[in-house]
Amino acid sequence: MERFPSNPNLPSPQRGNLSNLSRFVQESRPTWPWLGTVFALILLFFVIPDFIASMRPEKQGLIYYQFTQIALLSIAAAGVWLTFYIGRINIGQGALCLVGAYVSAIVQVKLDVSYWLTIPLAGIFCVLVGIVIGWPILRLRGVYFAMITLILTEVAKLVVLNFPIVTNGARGITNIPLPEAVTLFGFTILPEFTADNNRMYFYFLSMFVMVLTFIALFRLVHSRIGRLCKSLQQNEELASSLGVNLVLLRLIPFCISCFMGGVAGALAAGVQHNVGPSIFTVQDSVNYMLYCFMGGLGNLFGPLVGTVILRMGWNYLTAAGDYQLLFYAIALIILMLIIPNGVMSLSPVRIYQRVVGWLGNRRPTLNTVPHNRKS
Amino acid sequence: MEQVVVNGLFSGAQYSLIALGLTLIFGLMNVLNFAHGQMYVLGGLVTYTIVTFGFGFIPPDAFTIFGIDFIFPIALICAGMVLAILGALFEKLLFRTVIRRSKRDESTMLLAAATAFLLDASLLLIFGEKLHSVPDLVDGIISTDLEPVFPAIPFSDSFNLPYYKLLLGVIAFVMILLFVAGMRFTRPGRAMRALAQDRMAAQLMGVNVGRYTMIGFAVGAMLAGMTGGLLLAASGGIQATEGGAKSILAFEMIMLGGAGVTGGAIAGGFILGMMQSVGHSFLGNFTDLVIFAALVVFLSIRPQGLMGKPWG
Amino acid sequence: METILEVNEVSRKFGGLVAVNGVSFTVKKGEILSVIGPNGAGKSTLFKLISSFMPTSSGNVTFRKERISGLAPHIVARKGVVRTFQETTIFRNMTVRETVIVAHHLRSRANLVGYYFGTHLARKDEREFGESADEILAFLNLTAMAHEQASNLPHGHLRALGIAMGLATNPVILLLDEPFAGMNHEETMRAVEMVRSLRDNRGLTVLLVEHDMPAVMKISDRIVVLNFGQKIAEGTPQEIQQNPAVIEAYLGTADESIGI
Ligand SMILES: Nc1ncnc2c1ncn2[C@@H]1O[C@H](COP(=O)(O)OP(=O)(O)OP(=O)(O)O)[C@@H](O)[C@H]1O
Ligand SMILES: [Mg+2]
Repeated sequence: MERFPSNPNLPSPQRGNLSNLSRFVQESRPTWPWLGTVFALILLFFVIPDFIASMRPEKQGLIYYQFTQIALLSIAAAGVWLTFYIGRINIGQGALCLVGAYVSAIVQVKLDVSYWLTIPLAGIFCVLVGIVIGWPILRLRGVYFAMITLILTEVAKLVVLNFPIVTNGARGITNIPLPEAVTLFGFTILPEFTADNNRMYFYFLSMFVMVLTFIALFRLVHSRIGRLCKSLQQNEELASSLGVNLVLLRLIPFCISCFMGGVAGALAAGVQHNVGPSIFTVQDSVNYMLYCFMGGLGNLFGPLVGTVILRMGWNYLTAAGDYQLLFYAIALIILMLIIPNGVMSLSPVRIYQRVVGWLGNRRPTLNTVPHNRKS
Repeated sequence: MEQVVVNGLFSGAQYSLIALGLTLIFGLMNVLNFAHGQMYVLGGLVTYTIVTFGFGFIPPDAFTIFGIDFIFPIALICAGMVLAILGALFEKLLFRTVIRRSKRDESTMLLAAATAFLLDASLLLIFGEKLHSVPDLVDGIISTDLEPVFPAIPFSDSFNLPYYKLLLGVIAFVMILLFVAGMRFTRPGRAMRALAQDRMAAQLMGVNVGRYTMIGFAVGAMLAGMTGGLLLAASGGIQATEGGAKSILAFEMIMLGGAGVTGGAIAGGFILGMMQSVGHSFLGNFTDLVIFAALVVFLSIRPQGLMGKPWG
Repeated sequence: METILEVNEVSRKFGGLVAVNGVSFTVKKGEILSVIGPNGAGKSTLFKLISSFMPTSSGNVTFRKERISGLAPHIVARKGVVRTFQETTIFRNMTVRETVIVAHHLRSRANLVGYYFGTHLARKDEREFGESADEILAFLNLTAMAHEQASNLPHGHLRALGIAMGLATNPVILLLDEPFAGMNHEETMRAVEMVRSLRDNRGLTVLLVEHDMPAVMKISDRIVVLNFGQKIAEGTPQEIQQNPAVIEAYLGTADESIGI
């Protein structure tokens, strides 16, 4: 390492309270991801299934299915979030999901490959697609990138419709088998999915993949790659002046995002037992973006939170029948007006101050509280 | 071949009008109006409603004067007005608030998507999925009528251009010209161009930013709506669900021409119209795929489109 | 001293405007060379051409006898030719320390996969980057605001942050575009000392564009003067101060005095 000459006329560095505090937070970071993971695992694999088991049996399948969908959608949305991390708004994730779903379905049905293999296979295929498409279009920025990715979803559908020899065209592929058991040295490591239990098993599978996805993403964001991505998001020219290979560093997150899209698609193909050209549409692509924005683009768990809120809201709105999309749109617009920066942008402290301040306006005696509590 | 060229010019003119509205909104506010296709559909369906049912107690055939039916132009203007009001409301009530309050420019994209959902849902609820169409404006087909007049021009047998299409094409051309002239020679037009070029400078020069942004949004929406009316009469009809696809077409055009530039929108519209027309006669179903591939290749060479500013 | 950078007949046109017109000069190792000229003379453009942020219309730049024009900017940076920006260009949502750590990119020995899985080498890199960043920040008097968001820094400190980023890349030649703009006299003199001590202690070669004439005269070994894209003079500060063409260019175009 190079040594720097000490600067002659400098006051000795002083550290204020604040920097001590932020240092402490930075250094104590490594413990909470583990706690969070354990907590999430307990919640997803014990608490929620336990809760569902207490419901009426005929309802259980549906609830599992809805949770499974949330998991799948949040995996895809996480990819969209990652592309935002390099400063690109990706409205093409639906295309990758569609590709992933079709790869999984075609490889299973036409080549008779095990479902379990098709999941990574779909991901890898989508990475290849990502390289071919991403390499030219990642040069575009801002709305240009957003527009071209939006078109991508429509194009994916056209590809499916125009090559019926492989994809069965508009009829889709409807005879996807349920995943079979996998045994190793006589131990069953993956159980057989049957008509009775597949909803539950798919729930566990998707949740497992989702947890993996977010752990991998967490690791990525907090590694040096994450910092480089963030630098790209904020100023590409400056980053390249520091020797960052822009082409490569744009392509890596984009390909990871494509991988997530592909995996989510493959999982969806399994969950639904069939695929068609409209299982993922432009509206889905737009929705992934909405999940990210609603959750908050500044936080890694934004896409998860956004998906949970919006998708659950959507599910509840099924009660509205024909008016579902209308109410959903109105709710979105209202949310957008209230929290334009996403749920994760809300800080509990700020809300507390707001509420107290608001109460304070009516009852002046409380007015001093927020100021004293500040920072 | 004449047929292909004429079809291309015809849809090119309509497409340019759609793209002009989108590019105006983008240039002024940096908002990518996802709902543009839906606005177009709404315009078409408003036109349809008025042409078919008139205005409540006034039946549509009340507008026939000296044997000429004026209901269509009236309906078209009404559609333009409805959309202009809607656009102004969207801007004032929604976009302005979000732009002011949000940390990122991109948040408006989300709002635009939400308004697209809103319009989609409302249109579907009101009009259902069925195809809505209006009768032809005037009768007659050009090829058979012109052959005796211009025997020198070898019209092929397959060539056909009905008079009503010609009329609508002319209206579209006139509207493009009016728009360009308006942007160039009127006060609001010049103010909007100044705004699109440099918001800060325009503000310093005393342009009322809020007002002209709203006017711009209204004009953009109005163009979309009137084009909807035109295409309703020109094509077989309009469906409440086709908004998204039209938005995507419009995006292709403004990417091709360059976002935020009037000339780019017109060029993009005509090029896309021509490519589709040529493509459908040679490539059939693969046209849109080929166009997309060509667009990607083109944009990787020229990211800002034909006439756009880099990263407009 | 060996010649390290050679600018050969470099030109750049923007439409009809020739921003840089057939400029040639050489830079020796360990030298501080200033490029001066009135506003719009083409200085920043010249820097962009040297660092390959912009392709030349004609001519070329060689670094250690190797042609660098036409290469991607990050490759040129990797070879050791690093520029800072004229505008206060920063990563807005990063802290000062984080920014400088990111800027150590070129010193990484582990690859990206290694960083992802946190291999031994990667962790060693991270530790050393942290230490080195702290040293650089201390050297540039930025330690007190290490954990401040970059976008909250006052103007003068932003310039220092720009230099800090440049230093973090461990450059051979550092191209500084108006590093002293927005600093008061005292700050400028301290920064001049700093740049000189970098050269003296680390053998860094510095190329800088600056309008602050007293600082330029104090800091430079040699000066190149541009006007309307053309080189009109080259020499030591004394020679430049007495050069009639230079005086003419400055008096003729701007009210800026050359600080004699
Ligand atoms: N990207 C560009 N496109 C068109 N013209 C440009 C571009 N960059 C610079 N120019 C023009 O080239 C000329 C030289 O610009 P440059 O920024 O190099 O000047 P400069 O010497 O750095 O001026 P200053 O002292 O104000 O920084 C100017 O007339 C400028 O308008
Ligand atoms: Mg300059």
